[in-house]
Amino acid sequence: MQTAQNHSPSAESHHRPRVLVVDDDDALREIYVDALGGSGYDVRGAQDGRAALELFETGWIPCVAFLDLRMPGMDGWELARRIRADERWQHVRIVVVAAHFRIDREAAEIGASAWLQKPFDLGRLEQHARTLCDC
Amino acid sequence: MNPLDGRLAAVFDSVADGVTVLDRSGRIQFANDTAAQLLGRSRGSEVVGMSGADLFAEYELLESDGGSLDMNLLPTRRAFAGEDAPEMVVRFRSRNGGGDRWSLIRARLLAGGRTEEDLVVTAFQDITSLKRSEERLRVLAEASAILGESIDYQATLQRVADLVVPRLADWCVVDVLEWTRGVTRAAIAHADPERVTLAREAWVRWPADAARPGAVHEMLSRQAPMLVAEVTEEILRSAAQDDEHLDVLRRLGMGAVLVVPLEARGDVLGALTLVQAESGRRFEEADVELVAELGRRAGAAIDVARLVWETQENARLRDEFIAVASHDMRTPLAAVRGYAQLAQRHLDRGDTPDPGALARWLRDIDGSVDRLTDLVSELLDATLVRAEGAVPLQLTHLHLGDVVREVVSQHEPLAEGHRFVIEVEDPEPQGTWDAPRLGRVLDNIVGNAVKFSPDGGEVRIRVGRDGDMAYVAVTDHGIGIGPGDRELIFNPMYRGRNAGGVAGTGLGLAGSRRLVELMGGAITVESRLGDGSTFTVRLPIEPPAA
Repeated sequence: MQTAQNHSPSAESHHRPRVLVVDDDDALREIYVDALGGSGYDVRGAQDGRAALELFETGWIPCVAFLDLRMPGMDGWELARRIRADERWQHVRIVVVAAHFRIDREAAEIGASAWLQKPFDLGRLEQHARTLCDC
Repeated sequence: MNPLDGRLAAVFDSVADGVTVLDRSGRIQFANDTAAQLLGRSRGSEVVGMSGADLFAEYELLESDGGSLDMNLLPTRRAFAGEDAPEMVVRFRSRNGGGDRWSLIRARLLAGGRTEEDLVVTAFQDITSLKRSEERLRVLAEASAILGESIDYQATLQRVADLVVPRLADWCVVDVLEWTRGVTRAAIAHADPERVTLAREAWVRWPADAARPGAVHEMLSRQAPMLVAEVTEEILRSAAQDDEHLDVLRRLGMGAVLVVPLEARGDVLGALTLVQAESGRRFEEADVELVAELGRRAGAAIDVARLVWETQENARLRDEFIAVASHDMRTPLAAVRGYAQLAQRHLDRGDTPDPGALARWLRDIDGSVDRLTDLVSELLDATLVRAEGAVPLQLTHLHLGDVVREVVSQHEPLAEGHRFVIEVEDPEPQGTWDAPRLGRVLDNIVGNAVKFSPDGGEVRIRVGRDGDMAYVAVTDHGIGIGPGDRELIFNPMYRGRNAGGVAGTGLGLAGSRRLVELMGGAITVESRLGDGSTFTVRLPIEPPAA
C-alpha cells in the first residue's frame, strides 16, 4: 500500500488548482512537489499508479497529472489507461515525465497532452501546469 | 552380301566413333562394336540385319536441349534424301532409365549402281561428357547468380535446389547448421511435389540420431564430400529406424547419394545433398568436383548473409545499449538538476530551506552522482569489453563473502519468490580483486539465476577455496541450459537475442567471462535442461602478474 503525500494541507487548498505528481523516485517526487507547491498549486505526490487511483477515489481529482512511466507496482501506462477509461476522470490532463528514449511516441500512445524528458528545467513543469489548468 | 571385308571391319572397330551402314530399307548392313555399345549391345555383329528403327526403339530421340525431334532431320535420312554430309547433335533417352546421352551424328551417302543399292554410312560421336560438363558449368553459373541476388539465404538455397533438379540430380537437399537449433533442412527439391512431402515427413518423423547418423551427419562429422555410388538394400536397412521407415526409404528410390559440405572460411556451415533416383543416373568424378564447388559457393553466400546479419544486429544492440544507458542516467541527472534549481528558487524567494531538508537534498545529490559514476564505469567496461580493449583493474584486498552478501542484498528485495542461501567456507576466502567489477560479474550471475528460475525457489551461493583458487558457485533450480547452448551463452550475440529490451547496461555473460579472465580466473557452467544451472566463478587468491 502506497501513501499519497500532501504538500500543503491548508484550509484554502480547494481554491488552488490541483496537480498530481506520480513518480517512484522519492527525490524527484519531492523536488516536483516542492517546486509546484511553491508556485501556488495544491500538489500531491504518489509513488505509483495505485496510490494515485486511491487519491482519485477520495474525490481529489487534479487538473493535471504528471506521470512517470516505468514504476514498480502499477506503472504509468496502466494508470493512464485507467484514467482514460473512467468517465469521472475525463478532464484530467496527462503530462508524461520520464527518461524514455522515445518519450514523444510513448506520450502520443497514451493520449498525453504533453511530455517532459528528464532532466528538465523546473520552470517547464509550472508552464505545463499553468497552461493545462487554465482550460 | 557384305560389301566390306573383314579387315575393314577391324579398322572400324578400332575407331572411337560408332559407325553404322544402313541400306534404303533401313536394315543395318554393318555396325562396329562402338555403335553397338552406344545402343546398349556389346558387339557390332549382334545388330547386323536388324532394322535401324527396331534398334532405336529402346530410345527416345530428342533435340540436344531435350525438345522433341523431327525424325526427318536425322542425318541418315537426310543423306538418303541426297543432302551432302548432314550432321546434328541428338540426345538419346533410354526408355529403361540411366540418364541421357548425346551423340554428334554425321552421315554420308555411298551411292550404289542403282538407287536401291545406296548405302548410308553414319558416324556417332559420343559427346555426353562434353554436354554434361557444359550443363554443370551452366548450373554453377546460374546458381552463383542466384546466390548473389539476395542475403535471404533460406530463399536462395531453395532456388538453387530447384535449379539442380533435374539437371544434375533427381533430388537436391540443403541442410544448414544453425547456432541454436542444430541441423535444419533449408531446402528440398524434387520434380514431384508429393515426393517432396514424403521426404519432408520422413525427415521430421525419423530424425537422424547418434546411432543412425545418416549420410548428412556423417559428412558433417568427416567434413569432406561423401559419395555413396550405389545405394544398396543393405545400406537402406542400416539407415532405417524401423520397418515403416525402411518402406519409405525404398519408395524414395535412391540409387546414388552425394553429400558435400557448405564451406566458408574453413568452417562447415551445412550440407548439400544430391540424390539420383528414378532417372537411373549415377555420379561421375566430375559431378563430385562440381557439387563440391557449388557447396563452397553456397557456403560463402550463407557466410556473407550471416556476417551482414551480425553487423546489423551488433549495430542494433549498440543502439539499444546506448538508449538504455542514457535512460538510466537521466533519472539521477534529473535529481541533481532538480535539487540545484529548487535550492536556487528558495534562495531567490529569500526563504532558506530548513537545514534538515537541505542536508537531505545534498545527500541525494551526492548519491545521484555516485549512481552516475557507477553507470559511466559500467558503460565504459561494457564498451571496452565489447571492443576487446584493455580494462585497467583496480585491485584491493577483499573478503569474498562480503562481496557476495552485498550483491545478494541488492537482489533480495526484488526477488519475492526466491530464497537466497549463502554458504561461506571457514576461513572465508580473501584475495586481491577488483571490487566493483567482481560485484558486477556476480550481480550478473545472481540476476540470471533469478531471471531464469521464473517459478522461484532456492538460489544457493557457495563461497569457498579450491587449492590456490577461490570460488563462488551460484545454483538455481530454473529452466536450465541445453548442452548445445552451454558455450553459446557466453557469446555476446546470444545474449543480445534473448535478453531483449531488458538488457540494461549489464555486461552479459560474455563481458563477465572476459572480466573474470582479466582477473586471472574463469567462469564455468554446469546445467541440465529443466533442472537448473550452477555458474562457478573461480579467482586466483594471488593477483595475476601485471
